[in-house]
Amino acid sequence: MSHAAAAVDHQHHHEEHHHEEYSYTGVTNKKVMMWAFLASDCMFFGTLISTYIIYHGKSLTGPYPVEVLSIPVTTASSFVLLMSSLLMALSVAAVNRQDIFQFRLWIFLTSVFGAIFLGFQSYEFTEFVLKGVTVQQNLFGSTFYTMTGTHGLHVAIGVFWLFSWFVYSFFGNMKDKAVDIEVAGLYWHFVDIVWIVIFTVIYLVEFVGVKA
Amino acid sequence: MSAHEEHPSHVPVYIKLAAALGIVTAVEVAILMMPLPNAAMYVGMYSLAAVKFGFVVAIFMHLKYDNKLLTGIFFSGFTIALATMVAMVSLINYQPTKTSINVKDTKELAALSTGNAENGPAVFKAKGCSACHVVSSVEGAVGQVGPKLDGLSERAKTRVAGKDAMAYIRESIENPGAYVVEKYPAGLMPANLRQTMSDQEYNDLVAFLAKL
Repeated sequence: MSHAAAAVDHQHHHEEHHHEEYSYTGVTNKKVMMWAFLASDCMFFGTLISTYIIYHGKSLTGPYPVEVLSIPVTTASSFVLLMSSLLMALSVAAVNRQDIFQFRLWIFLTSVFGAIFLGFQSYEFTEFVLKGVTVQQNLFGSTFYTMTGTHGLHVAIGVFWLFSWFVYSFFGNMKDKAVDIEVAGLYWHFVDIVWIVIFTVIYLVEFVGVKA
Repeated sequence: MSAHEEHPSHVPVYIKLAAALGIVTAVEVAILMMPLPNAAMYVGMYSLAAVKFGFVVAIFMHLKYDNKLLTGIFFSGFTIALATMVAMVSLINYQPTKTSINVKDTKELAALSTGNAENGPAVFKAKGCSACHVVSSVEGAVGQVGPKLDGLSERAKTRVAGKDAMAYIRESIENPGAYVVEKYPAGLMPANLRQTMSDQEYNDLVAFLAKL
C-alpha cells in the first residue's frame, strides 16, 4: 500500500469512525429515544387492549369471538413471531461482532419471519371477513381490527425497517451501525411482547371454560 | 463505541430463552385443554404471559445488562399503561348499587315488610309444609320428601349467587322450580303455595323460616 493510499485509507477510516451521540448519562441518545417511544407505545396499546376488553361480550349481533378466533392458527403465528425475536437478537449480536455475513442472514430471516406473521394475519382477517366479521359488523369487529390492525401495522413497519438494513448492508458500511441495529431490534422485540399480551388476553382467555 | 466493547456472547442465552419461550407458549395452549377450574386457568395464563414478557424485555431487549435509566423510562410508561388499563376495565361497568345510594323500589320495600316469626309455625303447619320438610322445632314436621329446613338461614345465603337468604327463601316458595336442592326431585313442591296465603301469613312464614 502506497503512502498516499494509506493516508487516504486512514482518513477514510477516521471519518467513518465518528462517535455516537451520548447523553450525559452515558446511554446513546438513540436508545433513550427508542425506549421513551416504547414507553409511550405501551400506553397506546394499553388503551386499545382495554377497549377490546371493555366491549368484550357487548356485541349485539354475531359473529362472536369464540366462534371465529382460531387457537391453532394463532399459536403458529405467535411461535413465528417469538422465533423472529431470537433471530433479531442474533442479528444484533452479529453486528456487534462485525460478522456481516451472519448479520445479513439473521436480519433477512427476521424480516421473513415478520412477513410470515403478516401472512398469518392476512389469512385470519380474510377468514373473519368471510365469516361476516367486519369493522362495522359489531363491537367485536371494531375493537378487534383496531387493535390487531395497529399491531400488524407495527409489524409491517418493522419488516420494512429491518429489510432496509439488510439491503443497506450490501451497499453501506456497517462499522458504526451497531446502535442503529440495536434500536431497530428494541422496536422489533417490543412488537413481539405486545403480541404476547394480545395472544393471552384476546385469544387464549376467550376459550377458558369453553369445551374444546 | 459499544460495538467494540468486548462482552461475553449472549448467543447461547438467546437460544435457550427462545426454546423456553416456545415451550411456555405450548404450555399456555395446553392449559386450555386441561380439566382445570377457570380461576386456575386465568392465573396460569396471565402469569405465563407476564413471565414471557419479562424475559423478552430483560434478555432480548437487554434491559438486564443495560443502564438502569432505560429500565426506568420503559417501566414508567408501562406502569401508567397498566394502571390506566386496570382503571378503565374495572370502572367501565361500575354502577352505583341501590344500597350504596340507599334507594329502594316499592317491591323491595314490600319485601322488607316485617312478618311475625312467632306466627310462622302455624302457617307452616296449616299450609301442609310439614308433610315434606323437617323442622325440629315444629311438632309433626317430619316429612322426608323435601330438604330438611333446620339451619336454613345459613344455607339460604349461599345457594344462589346474588341472592341473600330472604330473597332465596321467597323465591323458593314463590317459584319452587327456580332452584332445586341437589338430590331432590324438581316439580314436586306445589308452585301455587304463595297464592294460598295472605300477605301477612306469607311474611310471617318467611320471617320464621329465615330464623331457622
